[in-house]
Amino acid sequence: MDKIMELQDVGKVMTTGGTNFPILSQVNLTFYKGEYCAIVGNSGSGKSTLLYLLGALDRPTSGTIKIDNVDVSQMSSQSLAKLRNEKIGFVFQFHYILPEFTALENVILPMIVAGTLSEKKRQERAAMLLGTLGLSDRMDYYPAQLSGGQLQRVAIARALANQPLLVLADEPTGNLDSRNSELVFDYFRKLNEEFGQTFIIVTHNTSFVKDCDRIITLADGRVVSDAAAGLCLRERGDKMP
Amino acid sequence: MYLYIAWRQIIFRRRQSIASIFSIALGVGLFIMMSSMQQGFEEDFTNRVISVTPHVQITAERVRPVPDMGREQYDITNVLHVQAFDKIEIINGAAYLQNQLNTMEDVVAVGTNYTGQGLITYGNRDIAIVVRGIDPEKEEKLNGFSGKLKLRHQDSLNLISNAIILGNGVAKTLQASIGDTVTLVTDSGNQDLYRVVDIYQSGITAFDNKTVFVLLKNSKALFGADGPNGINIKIKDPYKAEAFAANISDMTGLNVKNWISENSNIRAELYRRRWINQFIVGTIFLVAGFGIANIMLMNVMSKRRDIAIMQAFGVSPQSIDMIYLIQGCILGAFGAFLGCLLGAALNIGLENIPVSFNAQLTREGFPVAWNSRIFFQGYFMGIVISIAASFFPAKKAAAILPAEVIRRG
Repeated sequence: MDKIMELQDVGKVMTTGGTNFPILSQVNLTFYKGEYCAIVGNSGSGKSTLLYLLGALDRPTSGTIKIDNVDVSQMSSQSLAKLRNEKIGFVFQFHYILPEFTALENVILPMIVAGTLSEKKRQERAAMLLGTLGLSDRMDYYPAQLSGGQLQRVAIARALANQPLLVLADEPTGNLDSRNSELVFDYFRKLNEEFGQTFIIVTHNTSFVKDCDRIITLADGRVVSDAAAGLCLRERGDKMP
Repeated sequence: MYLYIAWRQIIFRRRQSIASIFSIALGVGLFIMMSSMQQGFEEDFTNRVISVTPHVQITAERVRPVPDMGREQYDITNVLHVQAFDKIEIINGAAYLQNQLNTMEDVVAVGTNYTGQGLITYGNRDIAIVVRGIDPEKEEKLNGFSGKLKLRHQDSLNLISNAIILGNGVAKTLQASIGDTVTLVTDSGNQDLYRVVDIYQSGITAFDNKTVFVLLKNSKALFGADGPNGINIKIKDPYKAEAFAANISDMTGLNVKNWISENSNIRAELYRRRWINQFIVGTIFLVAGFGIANIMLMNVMSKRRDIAIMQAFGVSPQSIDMIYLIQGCILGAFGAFLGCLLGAALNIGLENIPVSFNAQLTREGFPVAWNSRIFFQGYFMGIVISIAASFFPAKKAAAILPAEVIRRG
């Protein structure tokens, strides 16, 4: 399998009011193309921080992160922005849809930033993505006219706009009811299978975790287990009361 | 892309955008109004001064002695007596000088005059005045003489012999009106009767209260002079009067006055006022600038999440910076355009406010200069101020760390 990301001895320390708080330490992970992977752990275990590091939204305090064989730890903020635009799609707990733009325009924006497609192609692709997510009839709506579940689906379409290598999701269903959560995970799986994109998802949703190929468990900023789904759950079951 | 995002944000935040545009418009509009008014006052003043004071005036007074031929030719080293004698000063060779001046490129018009002190009496009233002997035709070319006359008749001095035109203030003090006969008495005791043919009003009280006009030949006869004691010159560019006067003075050895030096104290006052106005306008712009900076900063703060997500999907901090600077630029361009319209409206308003500037002259509205340069300056400054105002908020936006914002939700 193609290696798309590699973390070596990655550590992250946050400084608040002169005190250092280690968030992550000694994280060594490798991700491969097409993986469908969950990151789990208690709150404060460093899941989100790890996800931001994976997405080049933040820089590690120590260690190296290679995305597509390029070390991103020392890149300029401009190159990081380009890298995020081309290779990474984000879905967060909150949808972060820009209120000034319609659903379709929100999906088109990352493609405008990339500047590779013609306007017509961009429109077509955005419409196709929104269609896949069941929003064909809501494309020209403004965010204020859409429900939470619909907005989250627009956010997913936006994350996929530039055909990223890697889709990172941080509690993507945290603000959604169970029906919408199920819908979102169904879409993720479908997209993973259809487009072969790698998904790394931070979640508490156990029914979803069961469905993953690989589960990484964090505790106190360290990776405590990293295994295929079935195995991992058993381990977790063994360890957790 | 920058423009697209910037524009959509401006449209979306309509109320804040309109507030920003209005504050810039107000700054630009007031700038245009104040500057136009200031320039209008200066031009009005200059025009009025120029209408009564010649650009350049050659007087009979010597500043350099006539070259003493004797000294060089006969090696005379001692002059035993310098005897003062009562002689009427005139400009020798005035006709020749006038011809010479007329050939000069900068010269528009030249006119000779004889001006003397005297007393005017009418009934039991008398006042000290300045008698100006002029050539009406040349005076017309020099300063549009007839435009300041009540009857506006250009040739009234030539209509009858011994005609006189009284300054408005003189006529009022004497209570004389057109058709009355007055007596002029010179300081040496000569006197003659004159008939009032018109009333002169320049708008400068000090001038109108002290001056009467007669024909040049009459004043020469009255004062017993056989030549003029003044040559008035109108030049193409009145603001070059100082240099021109110095040049003529060098050539002739005569004292040559110019309107700029003669009115330097008033001009200094105008200059001071210009600075005060600029200070006021600067303050208005500063306040407008802070207003915009404040609105933009609030905008940035409330859009932290949007900025974070834009960074997440690949908009670089530099581009974020650019987006907000462009917003400043767009708001500035609209505000400055509106400001120009506002400035024009204020100018029109000012022109139509009836005001009285001095007791003698009431005119409709403030003098306002319509100068495209002022509008361009205002427009340019409006844009510069709003870009400057968006500079700090833009930097603030670019400095947002997406991970921080998203972590906090």
